[in-house]
Amino acid sequence: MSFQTIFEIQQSMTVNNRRMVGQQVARSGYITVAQYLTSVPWVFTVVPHNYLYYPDAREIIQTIDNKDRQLPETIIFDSSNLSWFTEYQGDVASPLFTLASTPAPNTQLLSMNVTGGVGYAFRAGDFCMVGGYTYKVTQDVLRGTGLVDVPIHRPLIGTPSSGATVYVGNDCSFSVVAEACPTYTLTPMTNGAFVNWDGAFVFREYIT
Amino acid sequence: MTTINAVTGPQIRHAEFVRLTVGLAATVYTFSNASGPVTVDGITFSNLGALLSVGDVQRDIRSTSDDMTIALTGIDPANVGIILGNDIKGSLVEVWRGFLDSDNQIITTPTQQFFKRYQGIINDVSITEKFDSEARTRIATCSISCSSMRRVLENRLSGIKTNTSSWQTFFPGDTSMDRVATISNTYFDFGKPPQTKTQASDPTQEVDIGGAP
Repeated sequence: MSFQTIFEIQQSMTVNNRRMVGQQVARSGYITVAQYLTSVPWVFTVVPHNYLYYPDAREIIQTIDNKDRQLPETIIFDSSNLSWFTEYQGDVASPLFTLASTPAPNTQLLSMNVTGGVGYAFRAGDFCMVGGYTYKVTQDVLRGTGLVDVPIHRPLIGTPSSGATVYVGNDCSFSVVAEACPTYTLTPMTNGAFVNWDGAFVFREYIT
Repeated sequence: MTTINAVTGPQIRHAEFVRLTVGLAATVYTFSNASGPVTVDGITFSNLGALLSVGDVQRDIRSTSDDMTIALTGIDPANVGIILGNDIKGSLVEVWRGFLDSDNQIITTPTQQFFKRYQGIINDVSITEKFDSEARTRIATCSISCSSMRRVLENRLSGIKTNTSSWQTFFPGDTSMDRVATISNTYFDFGKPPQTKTQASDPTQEVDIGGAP
């Protein structure tokens, strides 16, 4: 609980999952767009709260120092503070989804076994995790007979196989490493000090 | 003529692919910017976390010699090992660009949209380090400089030399050049009266060539 704590007590969080895209506008006004295929890593810029009381925050700071910009940590958005971010909005009561077939490398369409029935297996913006990497669902997906094609927001990372478990909603996690890990300034006060971070934390998805 | 159908529309999706065939053992290393391994024409491009950049590739209608640089991350010791642990100079470098459909698969209809951009051989490698003690960061980059085959041919020396070893490489047993080494080390004083015994000493006779005042 170090980077996770920073997420929990954040002042704000910027989410970057933009693709690598080139654009050029001709003199005639026509635009040409080219996407350069990458893994589109998640990048979270988290602004921490200042004025943490150092004697209370010292342990958190130490665990941050231990990981520094070197070691990854798995972040889960399942707490009462954060669950709004990855909360499942589909209609399956207890989702237990699996891959129905082995997907092609880099694909953005996953064939899944879901619980059939009425309503949606996924709503646009839902999160799902396959093979340790988390994706957003780009369109509503009906439950139907239980075999569905789910479009995801970025190319599939790695080579998961048929039958692999698909985690959804707050069961999804993000393995991140701190790309920017701010230092801190201590302002002395009675029996302690206030902690002022010198910048924002930037966490980049750790893809290996 | 190559037709690149993929670039006829306003929406383009592409990736770059690099293959190194290194050393006498012809060990193959493949790199790509894709997020998963891609197999094209029987080649699987799998080393996904290594490729930093592919330098500019000069495109000319006429054949020209062009050099190019490929950068690999030097943080990963495996890439440093590729450079330092192999007879890398002279190894083959090939670069392709592949155009992809909306599901990130190489377009295959009506023709496969996977085109070789560059082929050459490695003529130099370097490992550079950027060490920033203020920011406490260290970045290492393995650079591979490649020469096109045309450049290699331009720099190639060919032919036969007029010495014994070179001559007998082409004509074994031919002793025509055996005295070249001796003659080439002999001093000839052109314009000086002929002398006997040796070419440069022991004058025995001077010849009046007449007409001189």
